[in-house]
Parts: sequence; structure tokens; C-alpha cells
Amino acid sequence: MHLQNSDSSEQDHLTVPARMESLDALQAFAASQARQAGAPAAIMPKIELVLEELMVNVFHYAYPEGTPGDVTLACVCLDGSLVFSIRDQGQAFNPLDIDTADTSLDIDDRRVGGLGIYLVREMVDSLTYERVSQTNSLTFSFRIAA
Amino acid sequence: MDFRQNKQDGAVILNVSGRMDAVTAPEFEKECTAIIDDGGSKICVEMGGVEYISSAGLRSVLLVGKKLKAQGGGLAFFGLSGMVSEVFKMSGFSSIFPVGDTLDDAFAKLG
Repeated sequence: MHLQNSDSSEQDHLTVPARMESLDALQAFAASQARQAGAPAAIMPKIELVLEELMVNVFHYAYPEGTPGDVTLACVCLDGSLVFSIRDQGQAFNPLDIDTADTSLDIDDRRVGGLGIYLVREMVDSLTYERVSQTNSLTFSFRIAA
Repeated sequence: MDFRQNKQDGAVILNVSGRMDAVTAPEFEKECTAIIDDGGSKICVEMGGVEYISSAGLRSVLLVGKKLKAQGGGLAFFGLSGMVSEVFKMSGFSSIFPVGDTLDDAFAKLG
């Protein structure tokens, strides 16, 4: 058990039910954290997209249809980067295991899946997954300072 | 998501505004499927009013594109801006779909 930090590195976090109806609140929380940290406007839709892609995975795979559970989004600004973490206690699911879409194929050969994780990888500066004590933990960052 | 339709030279010009995300993307699919069921095979989508698109939006675009191609028609886009333009480029959608700056441009590319 960790005691809550009280220094400046304390993470703000939001815990909500892991379902689609929570997406707006999660994106609003992330946007407000990013604004407070002075993130440039151009990065906001990228943060929003990455959150949507990763959260939709949690809703679908960590908590398959009808499984109740929560998801926690936390954010901290460290060394010029906005670092987010997503934690849930659902089934083990590592989005980095998903095959990314082959973006060089033409329309006939294009598969419908794999685009989300491809876009995530293109937009974040780092992305790691850990499964620790029955918890899926995803950490990703965006560089916001030059 | 809001839609407005116009017909021009055998194609449907579909003006879309709003967000194309995991919640709203099926609305785009439904709108286009209705056009296809109505006999339309060429759709030109005005994207100027779309400020956000995620993979769920791209998935709907791809499904509609495949359907139209199977009908011997096609799907083209114009007026993309900001992150929507960036996501189209990043995902390769700017290469698999005709994308123009203006309606005339997109129309010409649609053939």
C-alpha cells in the first residue's frame, strides 16, 4: 500500500465506471489537466484521440459486455511531459499485442481493425503496459515542452 | 453529428459536421447506407465541419468506401482541416480515398 503523496508530484485522478458513457468525463478531465499544464492547443485533439482509443479497449476487452468495473485515469506533468496512466482491474489486456493496421494497403485489402492502436503509437511519445496485482496499467506520455 | 445532402451530376454531396468518434460514427454509416440503398453510388463528403475523428470514424469511412466500390462507385472527401486532415494522412486514408481541397477538386478525383 502506498500512502497518498502530498508533494507536488501528486497525481490528480478520476475514477469512473468502465463504460462508453464515461468517455466524455474522461476526455474532459484529460483536457483540463493538459490545459493546466500549459499544453499547446494543437496537442489537445491528439490527447483526446489516444484516450478514446485506449479507453474503448478497456471497455471492450478488460470488461467484456456486462462486466461491471471501474477505470482510473491519472495525470501528472513531469519534466516537460504530460504523463497519463490508465488502471483497471478487469481481464488482462495488453493493447500493444494488437496487430497494427498496414497503412500501405489499398481499399480492397484494408482490414477494418488495428487502426486505433496504430494512431495511438504514432501520437504518443511513450507507451508501456504492465499487469501488476490483477491490475492493467497503461502509462503514456506527450512531450509538451520544447 | 449533423448531415446535409445535395445532389449534383449523379453524386450526392454530403455535408457532415460534428465529431466522428466511437459513439457517433455509426450515424455516418447509417446516413451513407441510406444513400446507397436509395441507388446512390458516388458520395462526396464535405468534412469542413468535422473537428475530430478517431479510429471508430475511420472504420465507418472504410466500410462505406468498400460498399460504394462494390457498387462501381466511390467515396471522396474535401475540406479536411486540423487533426482530421492529420489522421487521414497518418492512417493512409488520404491515399486510399480521393481527397480534394474543394468540392470541384474532390469531384474531379472521384471520376
